Order: sequence, then C-alpha cells, then structure tokens
Amino acid sequence: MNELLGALGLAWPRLLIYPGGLAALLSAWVLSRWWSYAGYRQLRSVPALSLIDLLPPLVVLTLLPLPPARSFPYGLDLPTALLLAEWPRLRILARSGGLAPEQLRTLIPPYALLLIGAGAMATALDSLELTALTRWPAALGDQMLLGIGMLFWLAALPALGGTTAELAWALRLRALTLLAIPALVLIGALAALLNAWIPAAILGWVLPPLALIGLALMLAGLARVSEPWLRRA
Amino acid sequence: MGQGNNVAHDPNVQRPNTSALAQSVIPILLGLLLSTALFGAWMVRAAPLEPSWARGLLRLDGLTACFSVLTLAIALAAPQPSAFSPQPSAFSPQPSFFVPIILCAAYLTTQLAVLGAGLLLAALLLGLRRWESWLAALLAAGGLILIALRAGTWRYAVPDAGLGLNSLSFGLILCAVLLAGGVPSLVYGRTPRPFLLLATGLVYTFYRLFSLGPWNLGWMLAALLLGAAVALGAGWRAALHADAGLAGWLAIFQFGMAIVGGGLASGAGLALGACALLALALQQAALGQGSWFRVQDSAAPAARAPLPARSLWLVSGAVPLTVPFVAGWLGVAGAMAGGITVLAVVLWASLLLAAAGVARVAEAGREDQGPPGHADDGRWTTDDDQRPVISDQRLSSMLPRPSAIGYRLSAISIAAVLSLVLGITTPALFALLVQPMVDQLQGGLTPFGEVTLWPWAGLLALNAARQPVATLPSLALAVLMLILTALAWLVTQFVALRRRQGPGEL
Repeated sequence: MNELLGALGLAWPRLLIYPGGLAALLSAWVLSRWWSYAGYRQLRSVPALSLIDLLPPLVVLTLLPLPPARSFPYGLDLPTALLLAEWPRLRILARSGGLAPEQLRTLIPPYALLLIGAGAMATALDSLELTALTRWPAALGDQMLLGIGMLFWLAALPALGGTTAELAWALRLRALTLLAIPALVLIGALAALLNAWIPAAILGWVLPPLALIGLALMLAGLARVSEPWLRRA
Repeated sequence: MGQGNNVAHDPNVQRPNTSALAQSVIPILLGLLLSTALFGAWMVRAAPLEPSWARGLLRLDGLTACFSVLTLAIALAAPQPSAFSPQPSAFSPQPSFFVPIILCAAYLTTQLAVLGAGLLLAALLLGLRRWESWLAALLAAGGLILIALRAGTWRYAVPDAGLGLNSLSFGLILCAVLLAGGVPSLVYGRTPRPFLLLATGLVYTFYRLFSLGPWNLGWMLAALLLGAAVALGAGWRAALHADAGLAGWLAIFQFGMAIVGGGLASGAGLALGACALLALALQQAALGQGSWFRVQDSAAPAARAPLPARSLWLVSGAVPLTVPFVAGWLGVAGAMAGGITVLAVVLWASLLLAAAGVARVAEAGREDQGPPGHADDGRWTTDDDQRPVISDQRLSSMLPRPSAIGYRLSAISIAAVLSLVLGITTPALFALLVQPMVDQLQGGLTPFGEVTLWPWAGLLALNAARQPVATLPSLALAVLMLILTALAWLVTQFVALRRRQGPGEL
C-alpha cells in the first residue's frame, strides 16, 4: 500500500507536466495542427464528448515509459493501452452508428493490420508491456520483426482516423497516443544506435520529440503518397 | 415441471402464487448457497478438505469451490428456460434451482460415476427437446466412465486414476463442452441458445482432467485451436449480426475463452477460465433473456434485442478495469505468457469484436443526439453512414412493455456496477478463488504461463522464465483515474467560475 502511495506521490510531474498533463495537451494540439497542414482532413464536427472521455488516453500518455520522466513502477501493456486510447473513438463510433454491422466491416482490415503489428512487436520482444518496447533487441531477426511490427501499426493509423486533425481534445490525445506507442520502438532503436556517441542524459531529452516528429513526418508523407490510392480502394 | 408448462403458453397470464413465491425465494436461497460456496473457497485456500467420515468420496478443493461459486453466480444471473415447454425461452424456476444444486453436489464428489450421473440429471432437468444437452451429457458421462474403466478405479483422487485418461475420453469431454456451449448454433448459424449451467458443469469436468495428470500436447493444441475458433467465431457473430442473439453469442464467446483456458494448461489458463465464466454471468445478467427480478414481457424472448443502456459499456469488455476486459486480458496475457503470440492476437481481436457488439447496443437509439452533420472523414466509415443503426420503429418494437423496462434497467445497472467493482478488486478474487485452484491442480499444469498478484497494483502475467510479459495494474490505474478525474473536475469548475465572472476573459 505504502509503495503505491509513494509511487503516486512521486508521479505528480508525470501527471501534470510530462509525459501527461501540459506536454500531452500541447503536443496533441501541435500534432492535430500538423495533420490538418499535411492534408489529413478535419472532422466537421463530432458528437459531444464529455471531459471523462478525455481521461483514458491521457492516462496512457501519463504512464508511457518516455525517457526523461522518472520511471513509474506500474506500467501498462499493449491491450490495455490500446483500449484506453481508443475509448473516445469507440464512444463516437457507437453513437454515430459506426459499429453497425455494415460499417464495422470497413473497420476490420485496419484493426487487423494494427493487431498484427502489435503481435509482431510482442513476438520480437516476448512481452506485451509498453516498457519492453523501448528495449531494442539484440538479434537481427527480432530487430526486423520489431521494425515491421512498428510499420504495420503506423500503416493502420491513417485508416483508423489516428491521423485526422480532430477538433475534440479527446480525439487529439488519442491520435497522439497511437503515434507515441510506435515512437517508443523508434526511441529504443535510436538510443541503441547513438548511445556510443551521445550521453544517455542528453538522449533522454532529445529522442522522444525526435521520434514523434520523425513518425509524424513519415505519416504525412504517406498521406501524400497513398491517400489517392486509399481513396480508390 | 407441469406448472412451468402452463405458464409458458402465455407469459402475460398472472403467475400462480406458488410460482411467484418460488421466484422470490429461489434467488435468496441461491444467494445463501453462493455465500456458503465463498466460505468454502476461503476454507480450502491452503489445502483441500477431505472429511474422513466420507471415506474419500467427498473432496472440496479449489476447483470445486471456484466452480460452485461460478455455477451459482450464473444460475443467479440467468434463470434457465423451462424444461418441457413448447416455448423454449419461457422461464421456469425448477431447473434454475435444482440444476445448480445438482451440479455443485456433483463437483463435491470424487466419484467419476456420480459426476457423470449429475451431468446427465442436469441435462434431463434442462429439457430433452434439444438434442445438444443430452448428447453433451451422454458424451461427458461416457468419457468419465471410460477413464474409470481403463484406470480400474472410480475415484479421480486416487494416484492410478491418471492411467485411464486417453485421447478418446478427452475428445468426448471436449466435444461435450463444445455441444453444450452452443457451438452447433455457431456452425449452423441459428439463434444461439447455449446451456449455460450444463456447459459450466462440463467446463468443470474438463478442468477436472488436470487432477488426473498432465495433458498430452496434442490435446492442448486441439483445445487451443477449437477454443480460439469458437471465441473468434462468436465474437464475429456478436459484432456483425443482429442484436437479438447477442447474449447467446457472448456466452459462446466466453465458453470459447474457457476452453482456451484449458488448452493453455497453465495457471494463467485456469485464471482465464474462471474469469471468463464470471464475465459470462455478468453479461447474461445485463443482456440475457430472463431475470429473477424482471417482469416477463409479451415480445417473443428469442426475437428480443437487449435494452439500450449506457451502463452496458461496463459489461462490454471495452472498458479496462471491468470483469469482461480482465477476462479478455487474461486470455491475451496467458497466450503471450505461453509464448503463443498468434493465439494472443486472435483472442485480442475476438475481445474487440465482442466488445463492439455490446457497445453498439449501449449507445443504440442515441445516434440522434449528436449534431446532424457528424459525417466524418470518409475513411472511417462508408458513405451511407447517415443511416441510424436501428430505425425507430424497429427499436420501439424491440422494447419490452414499460413495466418491464425498469426491471431490466435495474438488472443492467446491478451487473454494470458489479462488473466494475469486481474488475477493480480482481486481485482479491484471484487470491480467493483462482490461486488455490491453480496451486492444487499444479500436478497437471505446465509452467508455461502464470498469473500472479502484483501487490497493491493488480495482476502480472509471467512466462516460463518468470519474466513479466503483461501487466494489468488495475488498482493503480483506478487510483490514477480517480486523481485525474478530480483534476478534470477542478478545471471545469475553474472554467465555469471564469465564465460566470465575465465572458471573453478566458
């Protein structure tokens, strides 16, 4: 009990500043501006979401094992993180009829891609934990599997609305969370690559924004390349 | 039985007084039995009870206690349809009361013949009109008798009993679980009507085989393949087919998960089985056709869709910290801990599909609340998504009479609150019901995957090397959510205050 209270007492910077709190809200806003600039379309309006709907993705962001923040002993795993992040989306889908059988069929291929990506990452790391995602494996086969899993996850995001420039804060936080999970893999890979030259303390500060920006750029490029194709499909 | 027969012809007819009395007394008796079973679980948490006066015929161990609790919970959540009535879903108190008691008594014996006879009697009480129930019970009884004949002993607790288990008896018992669990309706695409209590008893029989010794790898593979296929198929049906059979598909989904739990043959697998059946009880209480506290309505029960209510989110499995999610998580984590990532992904996908089916009902009829032009991106949905999920006429025809709505809504709220409370306190339930069962069946289990308590945080899934592969910090997450909710409330209060002081200042 004391352990839990102690951990929570020390977690206030996580909750209020980074990776949750202010940093999450700010980067979610920047990301949604970037998606609208990159050509991902904006939702005209979404059914009203309450403040409670904003909390599940925010909790995932708060508990992400991002480097400069002090480590938190109670991490999440991929199934829990995905469901928490998808909560606002699920609410909207359920209310706007997006879960009706005919609409649901259109959601199955992108989610299948996402789950296959998650499964590939989990196979490479032998674990579903988010903290494991930052551990870059030693074997080449595992490295490739992890990279492929990350790419699958990213490839599913445009079709899942993970890159739309939503107006609701809950959806903005959701988009950030869905991008931050593969960013953990990139952070691990870059840290393993660069730690011979750059001290870990500096890497901790530099890598998270670098990974997020890199993936956002990559997905924006993907939008330009593949959007006409996706639209036809 | 004749009484249930009369009532079943027209559910609107005032019930005879005896039936009304039974309807109010039986749930209380079942509740008392449930408390007794929980006390029994507390008694056997260290070692099984084998009273010396019973000469080895009676044995109360972790598996017995856990499944007695689950059977009684399911009986409380979902009264059984009448045995011999022409209308298959008509409610009748007799099987709902006697079947769980017979099953619990059968769990208590070490006699394989008594267990088989108990299953047959339960099938008889549930009705002979449908071939699945009696065939399932016959197959299971046949499997148990074969074990006894081969081993030369009728008691499972005798060391030599394991010699009797071969592929034939294993296959018979697995087929029995599949039959009673409603798999034929999955295959033939009929409205699902699984035999909840009988299938629970058969899952007990299936898990009891761990008492006889370790399983063959082929049996584990068969159980994993069949269980995962059933879970995925039922999840698919729940998500993509009409709402009317939703409760049945969800029950089949949970039985599929329980079969996977047996196939994993590890501590994590047994935890999955127990949690899936608990989730089944809660989902049936919220979505099922009958309830002890519910007025019977005139619409044909089989054609009736569940009542839309937002609290259904809490029994959907889409909300972490609730029992159906914990069951799904145990499946994914258990498969991962066993090193079978493909199975983990399949179970994860079926969890999401089953959750989508319930979520659709939870918000059904609310689609008109959003602003009119909510058509989104185009890539999210197809073009014709302006069409509401369920038209008003269909919705109103689905709704039961107004007097029944209150009862059904209260049943949904009770199930939802229980789902949340039990989901957050899973570690306590786990320590009481699952851990003793796993410890006492250790001889038949493999070390590939174990779920342990994470003190004051939640549950941890460990692999064979005892490295954590998945974490569910349910208590820590709940506390964190509470803090964040408080912060969010403060922010809204602050914003409201600023607005009141002067618009435009913010």
